[in-house]
Amino acid sequence: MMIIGLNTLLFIVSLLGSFGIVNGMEQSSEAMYGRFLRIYELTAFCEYILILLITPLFTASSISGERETGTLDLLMTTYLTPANIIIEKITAAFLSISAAVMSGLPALLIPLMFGGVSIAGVIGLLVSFLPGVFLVLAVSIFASTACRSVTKSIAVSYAALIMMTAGFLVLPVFTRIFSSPGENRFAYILALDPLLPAASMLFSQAGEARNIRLLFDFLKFDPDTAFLNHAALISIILQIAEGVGFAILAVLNITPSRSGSKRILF
Amino acid sequence: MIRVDGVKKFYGHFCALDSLSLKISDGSLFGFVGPNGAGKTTAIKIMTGIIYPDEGSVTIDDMRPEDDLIKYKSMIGYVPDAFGIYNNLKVSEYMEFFAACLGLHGMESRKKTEQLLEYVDLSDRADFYVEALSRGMKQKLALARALINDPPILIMDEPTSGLDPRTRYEFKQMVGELSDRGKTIIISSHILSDISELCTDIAIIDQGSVVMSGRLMDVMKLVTAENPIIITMAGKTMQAIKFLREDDTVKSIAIKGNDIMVNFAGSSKDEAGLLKRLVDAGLPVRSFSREKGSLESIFMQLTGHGEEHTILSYDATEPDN
Repeated sequence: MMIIGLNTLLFIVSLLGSFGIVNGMEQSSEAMYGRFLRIYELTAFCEYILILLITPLFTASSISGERETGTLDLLMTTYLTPANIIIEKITAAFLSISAAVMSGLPALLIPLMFGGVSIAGVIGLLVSFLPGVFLVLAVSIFASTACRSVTKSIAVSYAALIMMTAGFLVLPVFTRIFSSPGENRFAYILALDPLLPAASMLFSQAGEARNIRLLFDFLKFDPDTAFLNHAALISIILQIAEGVGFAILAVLNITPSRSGSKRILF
Repeated sequence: MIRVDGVKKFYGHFCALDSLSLKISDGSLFGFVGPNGAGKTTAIKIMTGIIYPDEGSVTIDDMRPEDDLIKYKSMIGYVPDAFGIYNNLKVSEYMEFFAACLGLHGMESRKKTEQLLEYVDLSDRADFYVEALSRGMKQKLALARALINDPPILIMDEPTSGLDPRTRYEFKQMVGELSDRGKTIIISSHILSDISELCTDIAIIDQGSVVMSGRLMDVMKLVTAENPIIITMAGKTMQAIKFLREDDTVKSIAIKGNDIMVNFAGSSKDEAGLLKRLVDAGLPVRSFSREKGSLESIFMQLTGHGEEHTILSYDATEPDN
């Protein structure tokens, strides 16, 4: 409900922005399609940031919350396996967030009334948010299995989210200081950043695909052209793999074992 | 039969269970007693397959949880000490949710829910939210949930704590009925009167190990035999004490109010002999009986928190004051 409210707000902002531009065009008699694209980019970026900010709340308390209320033990005495529990919790959260992501469609469509990106392109952009959402859900559910309290698991999930988004950008920025031009291989870590696929797709839709190249140039790295051309796809594959890895760790963390004391617990 | 063999469980460096071994026969109503932190809940969680031991094994009819966890779980119904609720579910939804988790769906699930809610007398609360139920009702609901797949074994952790006397009575009636139906029931409780009323077998656990186990009657007899003989005199108490001090079968004497507590080593025949000698000596004995053991006194003695030891503080060899 919260995200639908925020999407409504985004829709209104986008609508007012678009009317502002139309008003300007009427007065100047100049077509300013670039401004519509800026609004589209800004709306899409805000939408994704909102989604990422809200995502941890869906799974960060799912296991630690069950542990606090004593229902995890009850679930563990049913026929559900730890894998069933984790998969079903991630699936339920993923479907809810996917619906929330799609509720952002009207806000993104407003600037497109004046042409530019197709509806299929907008839907494609929203779909490109989903691997990042899956990764954040998986990391949060792992934090939830590893923390004894809901408060801790939410804090750890948000710390991980900041690390995955800002941290993966800050690290190559830091290492560029010590790197020769074109040699800062730490920049590859950007492929793990959930922002990369969305950013790459957004730049490409706005006719600014070179912005990704500029970003790597700024980081003092000259990646393969193949990497640059497929940065979004590579990043999506890596994020899905990473998400699956965290989901497996979450399953292992709640699976009874004789080495139970060696579990990751905060 | 449930067998617990040399189970050890560590939490970090803390040893929660230290070579715990138990045998629980089919159809028994087994009481699991121990002070706080003795390891009861850990032992129960290991028996239910929620956690595994670090060493040792738990088997039900020779099957370990590691062999086939789903089959193992199907044999156990678990009522935990902390009642787990989903606040946003109604009573019937709560039951149907767990029925689905146990493989019952649709009509089968609804029918089972109705049957069990009727059994625990909660039919009229089916549309209430779980959080709105009283503690007693929640406990009944927990029992109904544990019976969804009709398991042959029921494990209950502190089921009667915090219940009012009426609900406790009703709960005990239900447990008794389930036992009569042939279910093996394991109850951990601090309320020793409940254990002594309900259980046929008992294990007393302290610091992660079993300090005594067996048939409740046998345990009671064993401890009763070690209890002092209480002699109440109609007069001549000092002469009686002097007489008892000279008797070889009397180990120690203590005085508690008007009673003489005699620590006596001998059979019931020897007891009769002591009484006869007292009467023959012309001492007016008003009553002569072995102090009855209660589960509480056994528990206190075995877990080292007893005051009974202090009763025997006047040793026969000490000079009479």
